[in-house]
Amino acid sequence: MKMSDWKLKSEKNIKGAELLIKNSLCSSSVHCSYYSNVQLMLHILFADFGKTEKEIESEAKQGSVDEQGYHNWLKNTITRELTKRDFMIVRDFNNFFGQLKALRIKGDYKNSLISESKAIDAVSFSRNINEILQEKFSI
Amino acid sequence: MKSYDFIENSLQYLVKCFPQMKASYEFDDFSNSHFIEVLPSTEFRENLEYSKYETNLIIDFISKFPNEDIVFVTKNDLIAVENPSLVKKGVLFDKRPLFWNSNIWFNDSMLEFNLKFKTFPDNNIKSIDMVSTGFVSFKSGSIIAPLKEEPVDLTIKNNDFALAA
Repeated sequence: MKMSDWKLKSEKNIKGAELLIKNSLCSSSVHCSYYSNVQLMLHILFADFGKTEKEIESEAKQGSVDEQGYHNWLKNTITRELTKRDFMIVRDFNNFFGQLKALRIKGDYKNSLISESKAIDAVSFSRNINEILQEKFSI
Repeated sequence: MKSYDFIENSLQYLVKCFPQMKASYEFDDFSNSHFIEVLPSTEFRENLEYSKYETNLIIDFISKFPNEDIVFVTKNDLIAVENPSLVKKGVLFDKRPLFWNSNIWFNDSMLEFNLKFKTFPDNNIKSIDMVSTGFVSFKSGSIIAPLKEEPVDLTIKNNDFALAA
């Protein structure tokens, strides 16, 4: 099994989210929950797809142009592969990640705070997404 | 075709195929995401045919509009649809299903039935879903075999419910 710093950062981000919630920093925690998933997806490109860091960088650049954003490119790349591996899991992956993404944007940019219950739910969504990824990809 | 038109057509078809459901749509321009709240949540979570329809819709949407997100949610999810700009409601959505349950006891065991009667727009009951059946054995007051849920479709050919009951 190939290791990468993306995977380590993914694990640390979910722990970070929990620590932030424990310290009542709920709005900041959603960012960590979300990026735990983003980093695990990058690790999948490296460990399961067998791409080099250079290839990932280059494809991300082009993908960001074609799909108007780095995160869209990454999510769509993983979704396309998930469709081949387990059609029915695409729905959960898409809906969990889409909600977490929207809450992260609210937490980072909107002039409103994230409640503790929403922050806890965000950790749970992030864990669910990571479980799907761990189950369907060799990581 | 614009993404909104695609979604409007898809939701119209959704409630036609699944008349017991309702879909409410809202666009979040902050995240460039199309949110669709689907009710009832039990159908959203447990109806396999609906799940297949939704999955196909998601995959189709991503291939047509890769720079936008489509996200389906239901009650008590992380994101709520609070100000829908479009609502599509199936013809059976407001019709509450009729439930019936019964227990049969023999010796120290119990057989449990939970039935849901499906009604259609003409108010005639056309089929019965066995929501769950269970067989529980009790020994010294403790459950030794848990209830099992196995949905079974029991389509009936006439409306003679005096006999069915």
